[in-house]
Amino acid sequence: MPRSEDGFEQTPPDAAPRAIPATRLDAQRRADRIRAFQAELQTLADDGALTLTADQQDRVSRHHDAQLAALRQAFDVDSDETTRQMSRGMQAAAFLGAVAFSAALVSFFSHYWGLLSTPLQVATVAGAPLLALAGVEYAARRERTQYVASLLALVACAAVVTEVMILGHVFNTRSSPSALLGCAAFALALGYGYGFRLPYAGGLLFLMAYVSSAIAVLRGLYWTEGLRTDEVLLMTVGALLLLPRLHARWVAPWRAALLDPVARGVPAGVGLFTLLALTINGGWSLLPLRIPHTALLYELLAIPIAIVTILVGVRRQSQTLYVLGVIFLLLFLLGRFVDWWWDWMPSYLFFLLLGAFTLALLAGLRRARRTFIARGIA
Amino acid sequence: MTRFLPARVGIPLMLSIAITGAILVHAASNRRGTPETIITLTERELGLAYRPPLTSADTTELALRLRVHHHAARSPGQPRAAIDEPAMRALGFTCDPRRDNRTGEPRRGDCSRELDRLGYVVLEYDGPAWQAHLTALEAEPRQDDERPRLSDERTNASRLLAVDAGPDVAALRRRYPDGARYLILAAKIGADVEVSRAYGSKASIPIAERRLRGQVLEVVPARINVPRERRRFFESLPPPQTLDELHIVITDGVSENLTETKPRYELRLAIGQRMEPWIVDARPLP
Repeated sequence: MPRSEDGFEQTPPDAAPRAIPATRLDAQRRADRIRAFQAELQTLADDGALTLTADQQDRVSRHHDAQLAALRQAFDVDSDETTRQMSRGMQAAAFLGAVAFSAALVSFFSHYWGLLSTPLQVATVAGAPLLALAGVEYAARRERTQYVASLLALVACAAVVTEVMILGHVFNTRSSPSALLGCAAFALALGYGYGFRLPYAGGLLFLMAYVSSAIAVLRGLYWTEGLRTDEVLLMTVGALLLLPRLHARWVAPWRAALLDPVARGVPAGVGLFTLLALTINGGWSLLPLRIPHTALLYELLAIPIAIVTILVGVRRQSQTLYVLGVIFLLLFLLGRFVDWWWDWMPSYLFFLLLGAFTLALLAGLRRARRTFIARGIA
Repeated sequence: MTRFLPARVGIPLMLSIAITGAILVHAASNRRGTPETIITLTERELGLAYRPPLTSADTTELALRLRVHHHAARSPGQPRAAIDEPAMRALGFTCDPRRDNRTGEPRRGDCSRELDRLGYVVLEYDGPAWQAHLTALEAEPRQDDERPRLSDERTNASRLLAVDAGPDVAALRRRYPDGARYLILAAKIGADVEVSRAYGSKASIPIAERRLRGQVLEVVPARINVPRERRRFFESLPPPQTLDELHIVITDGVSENLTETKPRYELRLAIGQRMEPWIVDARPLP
């Protein structure tokens, strides 16, 4: 099996032709481009703008058919909009399946728990993640779409979290941030190894919770106080936002392309949520300022940060950052408007102003879009 | 990694094994050697943990819950706070309960905004603090409808009271060497301002009389697992008395418990090197 520079195997297996992209995502994009090209070529021919000779048409058509067949063979890519919609349905089914299997796992432990001796309890909860991992690897080797493998990967993560909790109960151990670190390491390793986004996102969330809680412990606080939304969490988020740079340097391009949206989106989402919380309650802040002044400071920072997030999203063509930035801006402004106007303004006027503001925001975004098009950025 | 165990599965696999190993090593190190304490408690202090009705039919899990008497620590008129100001300072609490805040605006440094800290709490079992609590309760003027509560307090309430706290187990044990009466456990401790019944509310307490005090928000771990070998004992216990069996008499709208409920069992609880408990043995009470 070929290896990338980071030592992990590349998918698909080495039987794939060299011209085939490395991931299903890239393969799907290539298939989409081919179909778009074919449709546009037909339109050009219908308009009389460009007509290929029969030989050229034949060569292009044969080349594309061979490419699409190879892509289907390697990754089972969607060949049209109908199969694409069905794939989305399968993705949703896989996610729901993972949730259901995880719930079944927890319920199973709960149901037979008291009937097992302590060694058997340990063996059962410790064996569950290993069994799920074996299933992930088996499914990944046999299945091109990776739906079942990704489902089992989520179940494996749930099994590890369950194991940590249950063994803690069995031995009456004190809860501590170390459990978060164990779960983070497992989920990140699994998500990274197979290129699965959801376990990777879960791992990042666990990692942020661990860093914040560990810092709380160092400050002499009870560890759950670290799960508050304050500047420690913002600093953790800032450090994790450097992750895509590490990806670019150390990680195989196909893996970086898969995981970068998660590595940007999860910390950015947590950071913006924290900022939003600090604008609402400055008392959560650790800054040595008066509480109303702290809230005001974060209110002043919120709009520039939202605009920067939106601009970075546009420039880097990151839909995740763009959407997060817009949602944050809307939620922040909605909260402020309620604070400022709700009490002294009739509700109809409040909602009218809110609608007018949304139109203004749309106009602003449209203008920004035109600017980007004119500059050839977007 | 080999072809049969590629890195993408091998690393999570090793991590999973390492997580299990770390928890087992932690548990073994707690139970290694002589326990820090072995104390005998009754059902009043270690009752069966509550299971929500929706899950009780679907779970065979059995656990006990350590009950710390919080009322005594909070009740007004106590001679001193359960966790007093010097102990709170030793734990790292820095807020100033005597700071004037007439505006009512939340400010940094207010005790109500202080974050909870981890400490070790000394729990006294059926000792002077419990007797003082009962005496204070009996001395309080009360209405007739409060008598059942007093009776319930004498016969059912937990006799474990927090009497001190600190960051260092060894120092606390030197101060409270009697392991059969004083239990030391880790706890989540919060800050509060001592309330005296002489004043209607915290805001009306004269600044000079305000005292920082601690409250045990949660003993960790409070939930103690019942292993399978002890399960049969707890399942064979007679069911707890119902309200009918307690011969509750209602006279002029006042209910009175004429029969005292009794704890059904007592057990020995060991606290290990890492201050984590386990059940040593249990026996029924007559």
